[in-house]
Amino acid sequence: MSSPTTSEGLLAIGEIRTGFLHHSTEITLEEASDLLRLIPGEQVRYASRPRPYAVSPETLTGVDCTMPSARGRRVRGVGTVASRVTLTGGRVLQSCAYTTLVPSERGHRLPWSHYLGRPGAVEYLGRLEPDDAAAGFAEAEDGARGIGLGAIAEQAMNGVQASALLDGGLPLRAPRGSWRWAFQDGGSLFRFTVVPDGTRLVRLAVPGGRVDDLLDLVEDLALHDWLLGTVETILERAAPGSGSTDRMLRNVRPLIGHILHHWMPAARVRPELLPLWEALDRVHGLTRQWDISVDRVRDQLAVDTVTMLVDTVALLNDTVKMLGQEKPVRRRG
Amino acid sequence: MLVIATSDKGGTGRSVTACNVAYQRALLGHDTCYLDFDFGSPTSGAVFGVDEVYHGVESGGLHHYLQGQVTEPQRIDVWRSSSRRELRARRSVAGRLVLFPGDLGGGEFNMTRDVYERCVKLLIRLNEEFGLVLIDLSAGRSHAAEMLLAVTADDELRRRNMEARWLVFHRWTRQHITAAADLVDGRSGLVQVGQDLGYSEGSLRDRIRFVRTAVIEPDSAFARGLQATQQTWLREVNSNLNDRAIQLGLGRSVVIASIPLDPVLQWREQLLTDSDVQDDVANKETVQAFQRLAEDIETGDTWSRP
Repeated sequence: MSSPTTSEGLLAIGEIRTGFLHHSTEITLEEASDLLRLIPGEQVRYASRPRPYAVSPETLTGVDCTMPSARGRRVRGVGTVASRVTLTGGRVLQSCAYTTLVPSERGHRLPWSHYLGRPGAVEYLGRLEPDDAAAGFAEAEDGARGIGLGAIAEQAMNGVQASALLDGGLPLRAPRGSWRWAFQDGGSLFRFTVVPDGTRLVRLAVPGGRVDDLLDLVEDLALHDWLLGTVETILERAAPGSGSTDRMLRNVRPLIGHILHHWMPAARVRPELLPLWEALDRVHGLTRQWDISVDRVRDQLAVDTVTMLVDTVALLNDTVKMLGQEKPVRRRG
Repeated sequence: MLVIATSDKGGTGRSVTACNVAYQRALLGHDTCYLDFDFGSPTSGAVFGVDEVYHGVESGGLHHYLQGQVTEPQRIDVWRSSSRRELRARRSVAGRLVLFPGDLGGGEFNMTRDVYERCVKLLIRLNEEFGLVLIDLSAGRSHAAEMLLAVTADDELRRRNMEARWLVFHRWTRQHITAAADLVDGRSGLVQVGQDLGYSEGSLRDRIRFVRTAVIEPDSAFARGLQATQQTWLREVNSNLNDRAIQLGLGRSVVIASIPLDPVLQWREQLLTDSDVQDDVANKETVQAFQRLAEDIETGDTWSRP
């Protein structure tokens, strides 16, 4: 699919899901390209720097549904939704279903061949106000009603997770991250909402932004937001400082083995969009919270290690005394 | 971990026990979900105190999902949606507790290939995020039970180490013991149907444990309140029941829990919280039995016995 700019398409909307790959180890780029070859003959794009990243070819799903609207307007749209699946670091799987909303030139539904000629676009039959549709989709809690992009994203992800190439092992469990976004052309707008079930809503307006680039940006944000959320949840459960070293280690070990090294903010965000990432990060403090969490993990491990060492030395001393030796081991610090 | 709760007869306290075990499991810090497969009369909404799905949902529940009417079944965060205040004040160390309600008037359904595949897909999906997936079946033999036997024998689940454990609930009475034994070992019982659907001989029986409910132990505080003649009688009956259970293959080695009779649960099926115990509404022993079962479904000694 060629990447329209937001000005061509007026409005692009989509949903992203983020989760762990159902496999016991991180997979290599070669394995990832086998896994993501969803369409025979079409290439999987991948890059090994700055970190392993692979993206599937796009698949298309036909839709004939009601367009989103904040004011409850009912406008019908017909066309195709594009979806793709990406794998980052051989571990974090993301699926994205998205489409660009464009006016229909004919005002009535045409044969499917017409829509297949414009992949990743839904033509609306009637009057649609981009602001109203964007607000309906990416600011209202029930905005996904009508157009089921979330279900398409879920299915794309489930399809990959069901692959016989995966062993089904899960080093740790976490709920999928769910993001719903709308891009518009025009001024600068950024609205971020978290609805009670944890879904993130993002409404974004950028002058002349390309949908592909904006998609990379939001995918990257979704990935890091999800990593942070997963670490915070696990840390809460581990209850550091509550005294149970066992509980702490049981929870924290998978963090070190499988999550912490995936943090690499804005790794594949285009340079011209970097200021946007940074602005968002400043406001929402993703990096700051991440640093605090990681420090907490490391500090707690250090404290637990010291405690165990002190206990071991004490135990050794007791043993030495019991054996009637004269020189006990010197306790340092 | 996948745990399936079933019983031969109704009124065993299966659902209320299963809900309480899910609740205790979440309190231990494990992400837990509860699937209400009791399609005839979904009651879990009431037990969890979620008013909006008191008797199931209008549409979009598990029944509709399996029939392909929705792409994902509705999920309800119990901590957030329960009408009980002490549940909404969830502790930060607790895991998630999510209810997948059944549909109002769902009833039975036919098992087609599509239904089967949707069920497999759902269980794999839930395994991604929940440490415990607890499925509550209706009482007796049902299409849903048969489907789960087939699904859990499926290579796709075995390949992922998602083998199911089965809990068979029965009251501690002669009729209930007989009925539970028949549900497991009788004609068209779990073991026989399981074998027809792909379980190897003996492998399903190894994965079945029994939960005795509404039990009055002869040495319990409750029994001590009885008259001497009643106590003697109780002892004798209890001993006979033990003999009967052993005879039918329901002896102690395959019992994973005995839940004491608790008046609160007889009058109202609900989650028993710490504050119910503090207020002397519920018995401490009942809550402790739920807590023990919540731990034992994963690590209990009973699973390592032959």
